[in-house]
Amino acid sequence: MGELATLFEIFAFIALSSLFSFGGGNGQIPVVQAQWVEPGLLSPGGFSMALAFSHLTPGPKAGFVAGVGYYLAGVPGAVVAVLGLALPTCLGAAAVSHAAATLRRLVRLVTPASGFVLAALIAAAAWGTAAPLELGAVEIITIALVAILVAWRNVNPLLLVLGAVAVGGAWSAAVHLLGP
Amino acid sequence: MTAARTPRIGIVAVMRAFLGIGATTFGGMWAATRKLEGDLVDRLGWLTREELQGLLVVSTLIPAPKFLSLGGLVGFKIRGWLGALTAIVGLIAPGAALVTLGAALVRPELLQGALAPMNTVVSVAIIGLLFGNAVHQLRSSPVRGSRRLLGVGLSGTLFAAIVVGVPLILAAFVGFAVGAMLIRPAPDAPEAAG
Repeated sequence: MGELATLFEIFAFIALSSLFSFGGGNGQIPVVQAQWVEPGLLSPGGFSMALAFSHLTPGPKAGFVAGVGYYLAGVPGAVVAVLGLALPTCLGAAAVSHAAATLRRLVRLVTPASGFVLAALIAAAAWGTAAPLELGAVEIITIALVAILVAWRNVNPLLLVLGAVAVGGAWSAAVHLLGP
Repeated sequence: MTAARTPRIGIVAVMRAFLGIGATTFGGMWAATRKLEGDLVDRLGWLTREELQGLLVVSTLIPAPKFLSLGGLVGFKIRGWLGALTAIVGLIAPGAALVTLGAALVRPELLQGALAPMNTVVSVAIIGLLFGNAVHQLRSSPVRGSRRLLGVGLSGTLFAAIVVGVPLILAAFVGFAVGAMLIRPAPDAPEAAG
């Protein structure tokens, strides 16, 4: 695929993913997973790392699409990914400002089910990220514990990612120093 | 809501304000409300407290990340289309630049080599975070009773369908359509509920 085609694809699919963000959920995650991770164009590690960076940096979490764009097509990929996020949001803001009453009726119809649909999309993205990793029992139990902590104990994702980076960094350093 | 109600505010000022907000807030829109109020209401005087509260609710009506939607609404109110785009880009630019920098430093080759253990631990944490977020979406839904059971059933069906290979986009649109038919809004639900 040519570079321009790749950039257009990044822009188009990130823009499309905004439609899955009704009610505020991060609809970009399942789209990125399905469009680039599943076909092997983006490694699950790169996807996870982009998400991790977005939890460590300020501003909207959706900024992780810049990391995805970078891994796919360098700095131009990061820029078009951000534009893919910004332009539909801009259109949405203008549309809602102009036609609040009409759109509110449509959104009111869709909103009660949006959390359930989004839950399925995010869970499927998690499944799709986990599937290629050949996880063992320890990793699966850890994933379950993390999910429980996030869902029921409202653990701050920033602390979770910082902890993972610290533990993983120490492990990487130990392997580097002591050998595998 | 009217566009360009306060044309004296320059685009550079809009960019500077939202770059500042984007660079100094963590945890999403709801966690940033005090900062937003401090900057947009108290310091800059671009909005009243009530206007900001209204826009926070209206931002949930836009199919896009809420924080960016809020930026777009405030920008559009101040300077129309250009204001909206400026505010959104300003809000996301600091985080996106740092994420890009991180991605540039942590190349995929490193993730397969020297940083493979860190890659595994971070991936496990992110997968757990995603599953936790999915469960949180279910738990935080205000829908109750039999409609909630229908919703959980819809969620499980969609998840299974995607895992067995149904295209995500098809599953999502069918999910929203079926959900809108099965899980109707409560008769007393507020119009702008997000």
